[in-house]
Amino acid sequence: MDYAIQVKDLNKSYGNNQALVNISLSVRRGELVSLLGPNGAGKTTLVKHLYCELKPEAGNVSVLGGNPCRSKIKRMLGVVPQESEPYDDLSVFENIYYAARIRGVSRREAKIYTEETIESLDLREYRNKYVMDLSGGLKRRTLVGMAIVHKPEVLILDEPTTGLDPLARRQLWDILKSLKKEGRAILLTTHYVEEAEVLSDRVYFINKKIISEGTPSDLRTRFSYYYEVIDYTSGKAYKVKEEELKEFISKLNGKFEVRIPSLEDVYIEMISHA
Amino acid sequence: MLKELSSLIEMFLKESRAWFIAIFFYAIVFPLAIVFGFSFVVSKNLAIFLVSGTITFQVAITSLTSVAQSLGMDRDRGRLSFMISAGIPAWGYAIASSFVNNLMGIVSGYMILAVASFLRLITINYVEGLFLLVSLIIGTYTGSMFGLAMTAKIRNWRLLSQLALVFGFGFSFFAPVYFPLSYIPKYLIPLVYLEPTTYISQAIRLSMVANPSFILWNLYALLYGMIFMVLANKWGLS
Repeated sequence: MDYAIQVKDLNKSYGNNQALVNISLSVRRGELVSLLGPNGAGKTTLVKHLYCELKPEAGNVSVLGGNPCRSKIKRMLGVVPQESEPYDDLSVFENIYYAARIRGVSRREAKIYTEETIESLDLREYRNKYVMDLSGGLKRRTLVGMAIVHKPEVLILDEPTTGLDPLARRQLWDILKSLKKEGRAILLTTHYVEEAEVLSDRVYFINKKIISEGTPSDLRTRFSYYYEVIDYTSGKAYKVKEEELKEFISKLNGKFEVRIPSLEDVYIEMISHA
Repeated sequence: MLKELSSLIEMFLKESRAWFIAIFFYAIVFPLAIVFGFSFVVSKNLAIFLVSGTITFQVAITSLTSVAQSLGMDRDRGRLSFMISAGIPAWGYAIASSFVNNLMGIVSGYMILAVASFLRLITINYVEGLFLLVSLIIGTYTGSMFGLAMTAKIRNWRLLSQLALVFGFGFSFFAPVYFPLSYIPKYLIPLVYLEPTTYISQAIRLSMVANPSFILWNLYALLYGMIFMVLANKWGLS
């Protein structure tokens, strides 16, 4: 199997607090995988191991088949760290240009790549604006530009849409979808279930340890222990077990709807029982 | 790595355009005003301490305080993580991000020297000027590594920012920077030797009079800087 990211039995603790317990996961080339977990679940701690800001206490981390601490591997990585901001006193062009230069891209190529990135992220209008004058969504787009300008094979995005308004979030989703189409491996951490469901090929539920893994539809069906029945006459919603469903429906008068729980329902159920 | 670091320095030079007035005032005008103002009240035989003390003060502020504050803020805003993910080591980022300040600190050192010479507080020739450059570079390195170690240990940016100021100023006025080491009471000597500015200020002052022992003090300062670098590495910033 051609893995872009592979983590095996990763453990990390801060003093007496065990942050990660025997984490194993993988991301294939051309695949978008989401890590879904509540605040403090260890998502950021986990991804920091993937670009060597943290080193494993136990276990093994491999990116593109090598040690992520090697500069050769780091040059093939693009990262948007959690709650990060571009440099306020530089323009959009300068932020993206220098992100390429510090990865060893030549001046000439860095200029070409930067223009291409600005074009692909629809930032042309803001090319020469100082970042401090941009909205949150545009700042985040600039950050994505800084992460992809050198054409990395692997992208790691740590909660890239947190704090964005719905429109800016959708715009960023479109960008991630097009990056995925280009064949990059993408690892996304988020606590928005909808985001993971819309974007991901596979999802890992994480809360210090891996709770479950699968495609969004697989997780929904695998962990749907009940059906949600909405009775439009009374306006009430019921949770009904599969074996009791027929009998329950036969008793309803008027219109009703039956659906399996959303990924969000499954997620909340699993996280609260983990 | 040199190519990447030089690009980073170029980026910070561009960024410094926005802070030029503050950098110019604190690195150039302020220390010159101190030397000029106090030149009227200091006795001739202690004038060198006024000059070397002010240069040391500049080094402490432009390296130690500046590195801790800017690095702490950049960590808080995720920029340090971004740089580490791009393959830039934290020590390289520390030196590059404070390069403009450090450069201004070194320029400021020579401007102070020029003003002091003009006021006839000291006389200095090219050789001593060259010795001073060595001391300034080592002092800047040691101060920067102290700032790096502080940043590695203190995760709370507000606390870090305050302590960086306290140490930057404290080490300049509570260590024998503006007065001779021999003035310190014996019971305070062990404490004084714990302060990095003690070594930096001795190296700076002795290089200004071409006393060969400035090499020894510089070696102590360099060793101190390396210890801070190792500590920063141990505490998670390498």
